[in-house]
Amino acid sequence: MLKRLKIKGLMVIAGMMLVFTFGLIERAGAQGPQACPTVPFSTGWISAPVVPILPPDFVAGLLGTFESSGGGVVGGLDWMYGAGGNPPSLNTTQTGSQLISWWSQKGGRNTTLQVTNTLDVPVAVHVQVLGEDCVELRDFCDFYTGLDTHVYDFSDIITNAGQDISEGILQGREGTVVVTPVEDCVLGTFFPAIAFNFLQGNVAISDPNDVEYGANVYARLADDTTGAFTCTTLTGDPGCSFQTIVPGALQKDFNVLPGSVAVGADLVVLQFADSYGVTYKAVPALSQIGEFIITDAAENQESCTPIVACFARMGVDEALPVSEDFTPPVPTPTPTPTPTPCTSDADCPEGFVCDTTGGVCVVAPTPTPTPTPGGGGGGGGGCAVAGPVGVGTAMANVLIPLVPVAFGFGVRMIRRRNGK
Amino acid sequence: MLKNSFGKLKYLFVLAFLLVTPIKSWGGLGGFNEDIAETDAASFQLYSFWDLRDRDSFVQVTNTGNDFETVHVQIFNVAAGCDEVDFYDDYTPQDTHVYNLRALTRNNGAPLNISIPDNGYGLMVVTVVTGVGGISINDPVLIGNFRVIDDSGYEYRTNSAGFLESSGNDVYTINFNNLNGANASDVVGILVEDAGTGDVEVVAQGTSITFDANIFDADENVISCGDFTFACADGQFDVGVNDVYPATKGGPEICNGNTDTVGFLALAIVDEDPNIDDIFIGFVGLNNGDGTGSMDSWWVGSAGLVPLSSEN
Repeated sequence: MLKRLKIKGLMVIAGMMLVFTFGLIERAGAQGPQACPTVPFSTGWISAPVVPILPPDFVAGLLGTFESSGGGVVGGLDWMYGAGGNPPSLNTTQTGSQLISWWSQKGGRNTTLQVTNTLDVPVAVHVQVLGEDCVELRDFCDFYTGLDTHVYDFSDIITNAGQDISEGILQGREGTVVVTPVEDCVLGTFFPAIAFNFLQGNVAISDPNDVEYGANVYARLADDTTGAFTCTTLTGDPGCSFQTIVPGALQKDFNVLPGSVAVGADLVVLQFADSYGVTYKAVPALSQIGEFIITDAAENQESCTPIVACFARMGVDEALPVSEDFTPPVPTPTPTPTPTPCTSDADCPEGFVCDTTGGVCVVAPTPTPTPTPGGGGGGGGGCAVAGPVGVGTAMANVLIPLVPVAFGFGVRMIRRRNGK
Repeated sequence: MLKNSFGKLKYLFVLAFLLVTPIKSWGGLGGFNEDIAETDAASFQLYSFWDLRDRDSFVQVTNTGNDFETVHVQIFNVAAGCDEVDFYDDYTPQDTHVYNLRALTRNNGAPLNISIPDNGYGLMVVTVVTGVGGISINDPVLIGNFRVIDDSGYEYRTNSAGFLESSGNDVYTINFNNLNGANASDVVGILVEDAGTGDVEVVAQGTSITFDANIFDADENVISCGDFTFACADGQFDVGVNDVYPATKGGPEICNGNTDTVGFLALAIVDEDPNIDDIFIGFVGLNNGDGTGSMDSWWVGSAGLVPLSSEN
């Protein structure tokens, strides 16, 4: 009977966690694909506290926007600032041990990631590509000699060592990519993380709207809290781990160019926890992001419903909707002039002749010019207005594999009851 | 590109090397540990690149604090011999403002009687000060970003660089690749004197910093490019990487004659003038001359395995 009670308890707990998870999804769905759906601020800044739930060891955000301006589409992206808590510092300007970035192959986007070893000493790395649910989609090993650099194209991943990696599972998806230096790197064996503060990198995400989101990646230091760093293989113990980067809040300012007629935005939050041991892994974590506080240039301020997520991408507000909702302006068609009735060419304006069959003036045929020697140069043109973006609402995916956690809770609760 | 399997013995040797030898990523003569630009946390002093050469430029500054702040805005124009125009501006708590370099206005919307020529480009510095004419103070409440939109249809956008009293080593690196069609570059660099706290203003005119430049290509071949000096002067502030990524707006390349398409540029400080109270600011942009481009900061090497504590 005790066994049946235990199983029942597990099922109850698991069920509660599933309901909780779907409740979170519902809340996110009701919120819409913007952090602040009904707020119309086109210039301002946004701030969101980070409240750990399943504690992460790394939390960061990015904000990218693009807009139709001057007949073309322009855009850019950078990391959000961190404030309070365990904030970032110099993490996108100083080399570090672990590289982290957003990647996206969604909606026609393509990601390229350049990784550089700035030390004249070789290093092995473990590359993890996590999806929107923060679960690993693909991982592989790679090797860098001293002072080596390599670019990963997420539409066709070839490692620095020349291995062709299957990347089909990545297409149409997005998430977080983590590059970790490891003691050794042969698939099928174990590889703990090591301290190697000499890696840097750049990510570029090209968008079908002819925009490139490009930025330095995050470089996370192997930290020494004891002041006497003797740790090489990272264990996760104090003084022997990656730097904890969990800011108290994420902040970023934004603006829209004068005269822009359409805008799209990508506010991205990504996080994970460290799992040390014989094999280091970046694993899912969970935090509440928000309430979002959005302030405009006149210091009008609104607060908006928080989200709970491991990975999320959304728009900013009504003026900066999520990028999937970006609709470039349609060129105004030139009105067709009313044909002039005629009986002879004399009835028609210059450049027109009379079509006596139809009784209206038509454009006079242009005589074929005599070819001249030599060729003209072609200039690079401005950017043509892109075709319509695929319509659809991109939702932050808050599906977290909580069921195993639920079972864990269930087991602990049962053990406490038995211990009374 | 070699596929190596590292035995434990090799790994121990590598680690011993790292612990025993001075940590230096490449070259350099040592002794030039600069303060590093901070782009991930708020600061009291922000640096931004601006350019009006067939470009529009916008610099957004935000006071994330709960106090009223006075800022000193200095705009250095390289095309005008690094001449400076400056003004003071006020920010209420939680306030933000966008400076359009073609039509500068104060935060309260009042127009400024400052006209910057169409050929102007350079550095904009915004500093929290004690008051009009006052000195800079360590009140790290400013975040910001700058946007440089080229007439050909691409945008450079990145967080403004903030002042932080910390130091890495004396080697900077810049990645480059052309997988997205990049074929031009803007490598921006300047040494700013009297940066940080306690000064009435920063100085950009008359400073210089010299790097020993090398390119490492994707096959780890090293190409020596010789020395290159950055200063607030035409041909020394905004330059190109190499022949594949020439300077977008004309001017020299750091590695003239090199045609590598994928690699990284390593720049080790070999000389600087002056060498006090200064910070080096570097940005790099790559573009395809048509619709795509992006910009971010130069990378600087860590001081070593032990990160230095930051004073902020």
